[in-house]
Amino acid sequence: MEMAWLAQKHAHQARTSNKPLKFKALSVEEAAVVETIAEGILPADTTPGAKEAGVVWFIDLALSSFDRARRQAYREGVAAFEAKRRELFPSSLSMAALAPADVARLIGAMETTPFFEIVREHTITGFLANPEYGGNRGEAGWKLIGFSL
Amino acid sequence: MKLARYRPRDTVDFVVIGSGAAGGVVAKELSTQGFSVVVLEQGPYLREKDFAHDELKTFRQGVLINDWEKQPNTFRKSPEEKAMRQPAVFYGRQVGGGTVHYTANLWRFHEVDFEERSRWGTVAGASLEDWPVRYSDLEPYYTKVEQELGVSGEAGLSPFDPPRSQPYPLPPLPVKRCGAIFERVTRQMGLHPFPAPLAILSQPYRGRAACTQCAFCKSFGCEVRAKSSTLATVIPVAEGTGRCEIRSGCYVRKIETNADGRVTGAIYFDGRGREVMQKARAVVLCANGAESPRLLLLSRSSRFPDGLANSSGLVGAYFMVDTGVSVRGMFERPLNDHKGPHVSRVIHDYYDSDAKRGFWGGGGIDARFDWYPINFALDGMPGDVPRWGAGYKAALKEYFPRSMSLLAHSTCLPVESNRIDLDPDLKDAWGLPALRMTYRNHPDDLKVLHFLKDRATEILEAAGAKKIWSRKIEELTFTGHLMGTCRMGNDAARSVVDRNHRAHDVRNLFVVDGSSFVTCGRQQPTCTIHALAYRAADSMAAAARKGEI
Repeated sequence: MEMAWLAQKHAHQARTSNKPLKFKALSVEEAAVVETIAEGILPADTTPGAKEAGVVWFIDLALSSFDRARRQAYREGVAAFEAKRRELFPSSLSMAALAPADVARLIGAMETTPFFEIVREHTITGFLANPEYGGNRGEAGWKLIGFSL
Repeated sequence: MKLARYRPRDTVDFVVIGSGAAGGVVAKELSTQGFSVVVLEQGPYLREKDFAHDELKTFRQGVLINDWEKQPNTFRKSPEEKAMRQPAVFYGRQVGGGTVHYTANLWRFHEVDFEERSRWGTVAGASLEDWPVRYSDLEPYYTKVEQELGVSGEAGLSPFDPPRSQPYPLPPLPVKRCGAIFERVTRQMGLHPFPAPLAILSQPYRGRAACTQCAFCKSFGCEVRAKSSTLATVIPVAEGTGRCEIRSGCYVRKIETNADGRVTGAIYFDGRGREVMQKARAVVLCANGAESPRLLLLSRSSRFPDGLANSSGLVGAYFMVDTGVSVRGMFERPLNDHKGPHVSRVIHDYYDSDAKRGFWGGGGIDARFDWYPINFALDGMPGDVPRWGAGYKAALKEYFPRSMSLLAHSTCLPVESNRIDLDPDLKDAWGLPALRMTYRNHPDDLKVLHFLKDRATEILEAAGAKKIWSRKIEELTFTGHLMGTCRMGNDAARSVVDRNHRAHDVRNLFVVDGSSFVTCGRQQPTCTIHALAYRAADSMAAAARKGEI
């Protein structure tokens, strides 16, 4: 429980300091994959999606604090997503470069995996948790559902 | 104000184990009646400043409840099986216990709840018995609960309510949209809705602020002290006497006895893991319907080889649980019901058993919205909603402001093989045998749920809900309302404590909490736990004054 609090503090410092944000648990490449999956789960339309809400920052924070135990699952899960991408779209260069419809097809091929369940839970949690955790930037998630503190 | 501080070697009048719905009340009553009291609470002493509007921290990570990493449970459906490790029970784990985080439904049990055996006879496969106390014995104490803690409600609207000597001290809280819809429709159906009696202040009361209509009630502590937890109400009074010490972070491992078979105090692990024995003239066990029997079983000795107060073999037996069913509806227009206390209106029209239905039991149905954003997004929508993508996002936007729930709180029969006891293999973080739950619903429990689910569905249909859904009704494996495991009774061979909560086997040991229940009423046990605790404390104090402890 303390971990969550620390994580929140880190997120706050990250937001308020002048230094550029840096991922703590994810590599830049992994973060790009995770962010693309998250955006596939909660895509932008007339309102912000997971990417604009900063969900990947929430996930990185979770993996470097209260959900450290799931780091390995992310390592392996991201690799599995990448492998499936290469299989489905051999000419593609990266997840981030896929068209939204292709991302959806890729997720459709992976949606029964335990890893997808983890990313789904993290994405939804980050999108709707208090903004201090990094993933509900501008209260994007709360605005979508009409919730306020 | 000088707070009481006792040394463990000082023999205090009473050690109270647990500070929740029962322990908080007992501590207040005994200390205001002049006795020295040490309350041992396993959880921390949190204050209002510690309660944050933070769903992730408080709700998803369960900071106000027991921790299954340190305190593992095991579960099995029948005594023949090996129990597997899984969360089985949850309870409030801080000063104030479950009253800190609960939804604060605080209605009285009905007269029939204390005499169902006389009324309905036996039920095959269950041990239906009358209580050794009647509603009339508890009525003055129910009144005391409402007056001292602060309960908002309106008497006289439900024709099914038991008689009362006083009205509620506070008017009902503002009606929610879900409550207004429910009230209109159930009236049209010839039913009798009334404002849910809540231990939440609708107006300032006894130095505490009224509810601010924030969204954070169930599973959260109230930072303005509008929720009438024992933390906000009786515990400060107990401390104010200068005779009651609330000692938090104390995990009791044994109630100690001497060669005469009398209790001499309680041995606990303090926050640093050191063993401490607090001496006392009497012990009052209020650790909840799961931990109380566990502690009695942990307190075995050469004189009490099967556990303390267990000559009947019934410590831990007749475990009863939080049986209920939630039916949800989504409406054309937004209800925007996430603000304010969660429960708004209730009916008790289906409360009583009815032989015509062909099974035993019944329940109340309340209208509520008790979701938080993350929780709703993960678990709150129907199964046919897309799980990701544009369809999921659109559903989230549509469902959250337009949904409400009807929760039926219903019955579970006492069955002797349903038990709390000690796991033979698994240990907790202190090296003590883990809590094992053996539980399978009586078939009638599930029939009641199906019946109430149908009634709730009818109401939502009549209300014009656009979509109605609920989870499949299944046997329960996880529960928060912990009842029945140290049954009250007049016959020492068939119960654990007497009608005054004194252990049949040990003169200076009392057990009062959900474990005292003989039958489960219609769930939502807190009001009755409070009332039993007020009554038990009165009788303990009277006995102590006469030197009969």
